[in-house]
Amino acid sequence: MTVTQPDHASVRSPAAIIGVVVAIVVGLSAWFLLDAGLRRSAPALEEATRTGAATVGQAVAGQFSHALQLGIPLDKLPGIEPYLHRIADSSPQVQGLAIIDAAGKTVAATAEGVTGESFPIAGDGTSATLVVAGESPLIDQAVRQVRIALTIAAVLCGAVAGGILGGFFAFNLAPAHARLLGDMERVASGDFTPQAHDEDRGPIYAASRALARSIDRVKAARRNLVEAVATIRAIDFDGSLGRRVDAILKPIDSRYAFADDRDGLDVAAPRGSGAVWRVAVLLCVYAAAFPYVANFAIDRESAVVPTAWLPVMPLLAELGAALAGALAGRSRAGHSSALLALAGLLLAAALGGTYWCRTYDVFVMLRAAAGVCAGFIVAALLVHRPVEQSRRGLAVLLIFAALFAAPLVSGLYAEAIGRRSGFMMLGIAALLIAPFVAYGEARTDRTPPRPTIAAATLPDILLALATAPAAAMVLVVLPAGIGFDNYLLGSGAAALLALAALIAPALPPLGCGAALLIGAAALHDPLGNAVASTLVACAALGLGGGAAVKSCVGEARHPWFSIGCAAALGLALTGATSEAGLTLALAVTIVALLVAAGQFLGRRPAEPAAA
Amino acid sequence: MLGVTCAGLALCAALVFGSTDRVALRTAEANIDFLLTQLRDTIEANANLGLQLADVRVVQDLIERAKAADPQVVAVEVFSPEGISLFNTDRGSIGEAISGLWRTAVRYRVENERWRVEEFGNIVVGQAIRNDFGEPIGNLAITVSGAARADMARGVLTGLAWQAAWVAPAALLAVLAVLLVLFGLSSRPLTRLTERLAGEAAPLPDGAATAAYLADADRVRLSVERAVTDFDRAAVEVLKVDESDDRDAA
Repeated sequence: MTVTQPDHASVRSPAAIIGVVVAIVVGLSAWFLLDAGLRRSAPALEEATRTGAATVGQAVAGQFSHALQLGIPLDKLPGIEPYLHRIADSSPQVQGLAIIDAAGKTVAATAEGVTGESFPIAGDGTSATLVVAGESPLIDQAVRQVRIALTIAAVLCGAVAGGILGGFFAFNLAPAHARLLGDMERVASGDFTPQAHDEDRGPIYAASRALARSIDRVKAARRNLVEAVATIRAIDFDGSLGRRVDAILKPIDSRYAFADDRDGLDVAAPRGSGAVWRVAVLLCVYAAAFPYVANFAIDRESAVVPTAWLPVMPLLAELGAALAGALAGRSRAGHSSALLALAGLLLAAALGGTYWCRTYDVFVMLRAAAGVCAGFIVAALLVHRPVEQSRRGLAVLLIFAALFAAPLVSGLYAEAIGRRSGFMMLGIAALLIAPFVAYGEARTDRTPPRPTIAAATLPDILLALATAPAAAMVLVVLPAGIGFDNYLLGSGAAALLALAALIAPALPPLGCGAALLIGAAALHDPLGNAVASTLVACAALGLGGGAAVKSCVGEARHPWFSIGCAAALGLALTGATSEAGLTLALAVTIVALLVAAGQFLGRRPAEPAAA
Repeated sequence: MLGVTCAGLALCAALVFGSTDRVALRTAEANIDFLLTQLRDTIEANANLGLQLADVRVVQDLIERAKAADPQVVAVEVFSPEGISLFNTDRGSIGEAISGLWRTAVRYRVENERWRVEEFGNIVVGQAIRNDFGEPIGNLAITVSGAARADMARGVLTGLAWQAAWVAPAALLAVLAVLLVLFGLSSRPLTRLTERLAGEAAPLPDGAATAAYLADADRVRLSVERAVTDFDRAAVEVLKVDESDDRDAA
């Protein structure tokens, strides 16, 4: 008989419940806030719209008055209706126009029954009236868009809250829970070696302490026995007593096990996953800038960089700098919490400083600075701090943080406060998290493994190839494409890609290649709708990349380096295809075929059970 | 969780404020749009007669009439491609160079050849003026007062602050209450387990999970009791070894 095991449903349910509750609470609050905002702004906006419509009305009425003064009667003027339609179409504050003569007859109109403000038309003894129906499509459209944004914000908050709680359960509570139950099993079978775990908190901590106190009772009884044995051995001059004592002790020794005879509660060395959380939080802030970078770069001019490479260069510089930073972070320098804090502050400065950046060259330098700081911090945390997470679990957490939560947060903030202010907001966020990142948890004393230069294996290559199209999509295609003037749409597409990657099962190379091929086909815009096709491409590329991560990241020799290469490859493909006048779809097709060919180069079955 | 909720509320407030501010800006731009197009078309029609832009003297009248017709218009200016003011509703500024901010905006103008800057709280929207051959011969810029937009922004901020004053605490309380209930419910089996392990009470199982934990706790307690009994008995037996030896000797 074994003790009860942690119930996964009981772990997931609270995360789901709190996610839904936070989403509902934030959604309801957003509704109240929107209501307050509209109540305050609607009168001014409607007044501005009326003023605009009046300006149009006066100008158009003036044109017709001028014609009348020239002696051209209204019914002889050619193309009045097309002219009115053109005015209505090009003036967002005008819904419709109509000209009514002195007898009340409609001379021309953009629609039946146009009503609204009237403007007199007079000249050469003739009079008429121009009727302008005002409307506020800008307001309606803005309200619709902000409702969508608020809904996404509420869902995002719920997902992040549920994700944090789920992650806390999965990475902290569940291991502690399993440890406690394992300890109980051992004690139940006569093994009294378990120790209290000092990093546990709350009810698990209390139960662990209660178990330790029970063990203490046994230890106390054992200590009495040890003292009794010592007393007898002290007066055992010929060894006869010892032999009889040994006979008594033998069955007990074989029945029970103890770690040592120290008094009090032993405390196990802390085993934590704090570094994982710190990396996730840092990457969430750092990667939130990704939707802005290419977007910002193409609005700047450079004397040396060709147009095709404008959005790519800052990212390539950043990637190279991040690699250099990572190498520094895994060295002894990564031990220093002070250096970590300094890197966090520099990252904040590089992000926030972009607010004042006007030139391309300075922007490239700021991105390189951000890259070197982020690379340093991530490597220092993962190498020099305790990390108990599997590569795959870590990859899933980081995909959620960097590719799902980060773009949504930055997209929403860019919608709210604009791109440049978005950089500033990220700088402030980086400044706030710097102490947590630097001083969150004690570092380990273990020596970091020496960098290996072993040859890349098939999983390394597959990982690099299969994730390259997703990197190109997230870093350049979306920010410079559908996300250029619609941050929410671009960020939503990036989040969709991440969602597909998160739910993707581990697939063999053939499956990954097939998903990428679908993505390449979608990039050709088969739906005849750029937005819909891009979303389909994002989902397919995320599926292919995520499936490759899940099947390869555990077996690759240099998984993080491979993912870095994927980003470089994706960026290079984007720039090169644009420079050569080719489509990215062609490059993705070649990559997809290479990935699929991996199926026949080396048999490496997927792990459906682990999916 | 409370932090996430706070961040979410801040994000929602920022979205509402940003959205209303942006729509105010777009409305102002849309209002200028018509005026800008009309003026530009008229100026281009005059310039296309073969005159240099600086020689089209009617432009000064046109821009002054446009300013007079709309109280929101603060200034209208036509400047050369080199950035020198040719016609200006502020006549004293004619011949002066435009600001660096305007130059940057003109250089990085985007779609529809429009450019926009915000200067001293006002919105400046400009557009290139082209001749028959499509060559830029100058730029037209209209400055519109941002006072109404600023007033509206202040009003929205005040409204949001008043609303947030009760919405935020209510939201945080709701999340906190759910968290406490969830925490209590999810930790109950472990609390019962702790009580049973400590032997403080004999709680009744109030669920399948609790029952399982109590059974586990009973097994642990049984093992502990057995071990304590074994060690106590062994200690007594060990001490008796000496006593029995004494008896044998006696």
